[in-house]
Amino acid sequence: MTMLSRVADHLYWMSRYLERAEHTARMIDVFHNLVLEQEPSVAARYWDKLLASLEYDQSYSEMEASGWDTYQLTQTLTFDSENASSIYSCIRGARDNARNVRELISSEMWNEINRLYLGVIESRRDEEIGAHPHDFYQTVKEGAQLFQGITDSTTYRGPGWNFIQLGRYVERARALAVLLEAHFKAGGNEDYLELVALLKCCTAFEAFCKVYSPELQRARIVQFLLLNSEFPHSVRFAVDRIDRSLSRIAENAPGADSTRLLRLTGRLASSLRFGTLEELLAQGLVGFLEDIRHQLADIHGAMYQAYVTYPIEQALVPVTAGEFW
Amino acid sequence: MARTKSETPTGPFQNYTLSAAFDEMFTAPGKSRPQYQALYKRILELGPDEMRHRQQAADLSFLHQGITFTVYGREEGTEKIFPYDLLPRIITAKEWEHLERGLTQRLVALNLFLDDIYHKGCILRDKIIPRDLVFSCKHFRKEMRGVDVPRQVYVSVAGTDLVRLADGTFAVLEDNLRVPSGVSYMLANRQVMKWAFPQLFRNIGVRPIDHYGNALLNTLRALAPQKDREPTIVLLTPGVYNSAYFEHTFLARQMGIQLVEGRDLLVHDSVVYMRTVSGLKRVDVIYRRVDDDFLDPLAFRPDSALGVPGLFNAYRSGNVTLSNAIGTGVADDKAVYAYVPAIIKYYLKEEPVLQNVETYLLTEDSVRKHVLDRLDQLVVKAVGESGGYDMLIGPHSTAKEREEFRERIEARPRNYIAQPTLDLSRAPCFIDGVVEPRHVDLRPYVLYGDRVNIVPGGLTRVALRRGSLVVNSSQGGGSKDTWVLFE
Repeated sequence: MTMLSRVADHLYWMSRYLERAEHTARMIDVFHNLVLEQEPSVAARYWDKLLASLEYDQSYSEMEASGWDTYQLTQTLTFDSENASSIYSCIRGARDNARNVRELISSEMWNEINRLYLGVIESRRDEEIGAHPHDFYQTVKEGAQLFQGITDSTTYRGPGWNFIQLGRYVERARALAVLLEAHFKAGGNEDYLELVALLKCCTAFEAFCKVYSPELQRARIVQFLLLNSEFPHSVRFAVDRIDRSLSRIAENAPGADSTRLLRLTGRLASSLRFGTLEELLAQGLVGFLEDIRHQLADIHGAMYQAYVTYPIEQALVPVTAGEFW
Repeated sequence: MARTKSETPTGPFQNYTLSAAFDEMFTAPGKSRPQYQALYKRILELGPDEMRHRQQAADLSFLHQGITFTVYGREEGTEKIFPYDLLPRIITAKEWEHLERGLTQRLVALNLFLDDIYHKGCILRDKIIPRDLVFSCKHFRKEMRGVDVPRQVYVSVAGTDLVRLADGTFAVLEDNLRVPSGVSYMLANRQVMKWAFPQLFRNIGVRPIDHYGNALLNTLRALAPQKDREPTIVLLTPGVYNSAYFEHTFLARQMGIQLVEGRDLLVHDSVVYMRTVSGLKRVDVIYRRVDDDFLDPLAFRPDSALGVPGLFNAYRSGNVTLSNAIGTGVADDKAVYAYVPAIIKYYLKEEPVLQNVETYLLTEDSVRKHVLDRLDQLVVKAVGESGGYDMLIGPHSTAKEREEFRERIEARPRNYIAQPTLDLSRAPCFIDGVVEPRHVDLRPYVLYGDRVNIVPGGLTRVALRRGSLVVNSSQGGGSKDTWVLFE
């Protein structure tokens, strides 16, 4: 049975939202931990970096000027229902999308995402949550990972599975590109702790130390987070998965026009597979990362064009009288 | 000849009392009807603890399957389990044969009626039913005049509500001819009963109902506009917030068809397509669980976000079948209901097999006065409503409620009908560890594609509150499995 476009859309966003919730939780948790031992001026710089990494356009000093403290900041990033990127909003978004396809995902998946959502609602009401934020972020990360594990072990490997993978890795590739861009835009004066934090934001510290050593060199970190083919939180790994999922989807949906989409993903994947670090640095790292972000946005748009909002829509738009005359 | 045992009620039946209402199980205290003997024996054998245990297991199974419905008018998204009673309601082969004949006759006649009023209007010309009455129906769709539907079948799925009167005869209380619901409970109840009482099934000879999904699919297939290819059939749901969403997903899975929402469909050149990841796919038959009003914002309610713009045009062009057809509600209007016996005689030249409940139309001054003087004894219903909304049960009403209804009736007499308060038959229910009688009705599901097909069973709805006569799920009703016997 072919899959409805709406169903593909729900699965894709369910997965993207959950990935974003997990990423945001990890970022906030890492930075919380980082600023504990810093003096205020350094802490402010770190907060700025967190905000930039999560694509907020305000800086911490601007927020401070309008009377905010770190508690309010983290509350906004975590629980604010008005903030579409808060952890709460992301988990609610994931659950809403899952609810619309509840009969098509496994009941284990539904139970887990519903449980996670109910847990977040409860924490949101908990006045004391500010006293032990780490536990909360840990719960969100574990919930998202559990959901992914359940998805892995209970989902038929059809188009639905591929749209779930697609959502997850588009979100991950994008978040990583934004994070790296925010980090390297700030210039080369980062301290050791900041590099540790960067790796930890990508769950990469332990893996990095095994592949290289705890001696953190900038070039090696870029190599690892951008071009490594085996580490799940590298941009290349994520883009490879995007490429693979889209190829599988194209094989199973012969009626759709995926030419442009496959060209866009193939090109991005190739640049990461065959590009070298030296070329990249010569070309300008920040520019390259920015370019990745744009390419991912194009891939997202092309995916919609191919499978969800394909152009029959245009053919159906009634011609207005004005265009005839 | 097996002698029916007569004994004083014991065990869980200690408090079981008989009343003037027909009792489905007992003819006298402790003396059960033959078809209930095996069940009676089994209940006494099991004892209250084991019964309670099985009831709990059944409840849990409903919860786990997510068999819930949404109650409107309370806090948003209140999902409830449909209360379920463990004791089956049993119908003999002879009784069923009679019901089957009556339901078939009725549905055939009502379809002829719909075809007639949307085409030639012979029945109106012959003054069998007043023209005004038909055209003033809330659900009459003038847009359907002259529109031909496949096989002249307007109502392909009906959920007729039957009640059993004090003398034991069945009568039709309501014809639900628009988007009748509840069939998933019929099927789920049976599933649970097979787990709870496997031995009884073997001994007693219960006719199966599991093929309902397949029967429905065949019905829809028979109504496809084109005969030269395998039709694409979909189920159109209003979406996850609809009270019957569980049923929609359930039936779509049973039939192996796509569950679509309005936004999944589009109409181009009067052809309906669904948007899939493999491109647009043509749709031939829509089993729609969306009311007429919301089907097409261009033809009906412009504010509908559930519908498909242009659907009515595609329908009128004969490119897609809607099941049920648009405009069937005119035939289950509660005032038109009073004329159904005449409708049957007019088209089929037969006497009705199933009787109607006596019904007062309130447009006539003398009848209205008669009714208004007796509001405390009668039941008043709004003609275009279903689900037990906008209804007055005289004997259980307060003076204030009666006064409100009096005003409403006087303001819009065409909008209401009155009926005597029926003493619905009672069946044993397992409540808090004992067996007590509760009022029940019966809703069989009647399918009509190339022929009328009734799966032997139905939803027996139970007014679980003691003494209550209202069986609607939205008003505190529950249900029980219905067993139709082979012999």
